[in-house]
Amino acid sequence: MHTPVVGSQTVTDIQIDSIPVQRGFLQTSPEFFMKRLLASGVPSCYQIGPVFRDGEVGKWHNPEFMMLEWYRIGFDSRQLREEVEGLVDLVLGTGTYRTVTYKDLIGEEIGIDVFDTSPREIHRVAVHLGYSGSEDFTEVCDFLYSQAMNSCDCSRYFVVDFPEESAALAETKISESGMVADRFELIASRIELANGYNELLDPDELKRRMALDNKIRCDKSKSAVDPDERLLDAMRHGLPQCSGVAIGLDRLVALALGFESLGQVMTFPVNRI
Amino acid sequence: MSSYSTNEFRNGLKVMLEGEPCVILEAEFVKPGKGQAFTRAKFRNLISGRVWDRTLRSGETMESANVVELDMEYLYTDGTEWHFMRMDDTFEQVSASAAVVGDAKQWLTEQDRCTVTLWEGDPISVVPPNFVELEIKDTDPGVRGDTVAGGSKPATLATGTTIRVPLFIDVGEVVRVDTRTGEYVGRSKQS
Repeated sequence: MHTPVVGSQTVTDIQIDSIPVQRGFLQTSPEFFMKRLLASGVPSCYQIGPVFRDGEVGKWHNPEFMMLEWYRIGFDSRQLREEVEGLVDLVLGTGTYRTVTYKDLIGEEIGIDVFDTSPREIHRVAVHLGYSGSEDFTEVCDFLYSQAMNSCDCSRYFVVDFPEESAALAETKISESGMVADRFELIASRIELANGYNELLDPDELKRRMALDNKIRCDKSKSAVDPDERLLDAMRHGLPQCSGVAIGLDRLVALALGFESLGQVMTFPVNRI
Repeated sequence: MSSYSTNEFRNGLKVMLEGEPCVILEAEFVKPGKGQAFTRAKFRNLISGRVWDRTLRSGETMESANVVELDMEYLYTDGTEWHFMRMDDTFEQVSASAAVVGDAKQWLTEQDRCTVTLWEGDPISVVPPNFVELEIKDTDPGVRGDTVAGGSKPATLATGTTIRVPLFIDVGEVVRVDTRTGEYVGRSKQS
């Protein structure tokens, strides 16, 4: 399927900057449109298309990139992870996959329990590892997560049970360490390849999260983003229980070819357009 | 004073980190788990030579460091300061302490061309030429015919530094030394 690249609305995610255009925003993922289709009765579906995120430039980032996104009605996140393994095995060759919780990954690599240590102590550990950002707890955890990912030797693994605050459009669930997001990421060769959710179905909860995002956006002097009422309406009508995942296709191809940056698989990376 | 944002970071850029001039060795944009974007960078402190890993919030800025590298001629030392002269038309001279000259002093002889790094006009490091030619001042007598065995012996150079040389090298000969490894490379072509 193909959904519009330009939408009148966009995501409220604090750390994702949409590119505004005359009629709205370049979409940062086809998620909102695809969920509206799912709510209207379209079965499990996929899409490959360009998505846009402002300011993301680096060896493994380009503001415009190709995303493969799909939804499976009736799947939980574990079933979807198995399907992701199947696809990645096809492209990169068969591998073994470990599943580790966010808490355990940071615990194993950094030696700190982020769910059960004072923010002050966590910040101290981060600074010791070269962190020079703010004391904002979420930001410090983002740093520790990136450090853990960078030091983990495992070639392919899923990270699951993210902090509740990073649930975005994922369902939450109760785990041993309290409430967590039913969300996963696939890391291959230290690169984040996929991000998947057991999808949140409750429109009121989504509306609450979007309002919270906007409050934090204001605190960070970022512009507020109107909630996508059409998406909320579709969810009120009823989104079937489903899980969805997005794969950075350029990254997957780059890994398959043994390249060391996205620029090697793109016709014109951002610094040459 | 100009400054650089993390998105302008590139290898070789000289910036101030915690009050000291550093050079960026590598910088990578990372954005873990849809979270805060960071720039993970390696900096080499231009004074101590130490490498610092730092992760900055993306978009943060760093002050540029007023650092220049100049080709300079080593003139002489008075025992406490080492004196160098610019090789352009200015003939301007600077003096550097023993700490700044560091390991370079074991190789330097007058008129050697060095790379001197200046921060705010003051020298902070001295890199000697990759190869220097120095006379052997003292070594045990060579053993005739023993040119194949590959044995070596200590020898003291004109600068007072001791290196290992092949057995056939004698006092008074001039040898070529790689200052990066401190190893004997060969006899000087001039000797």
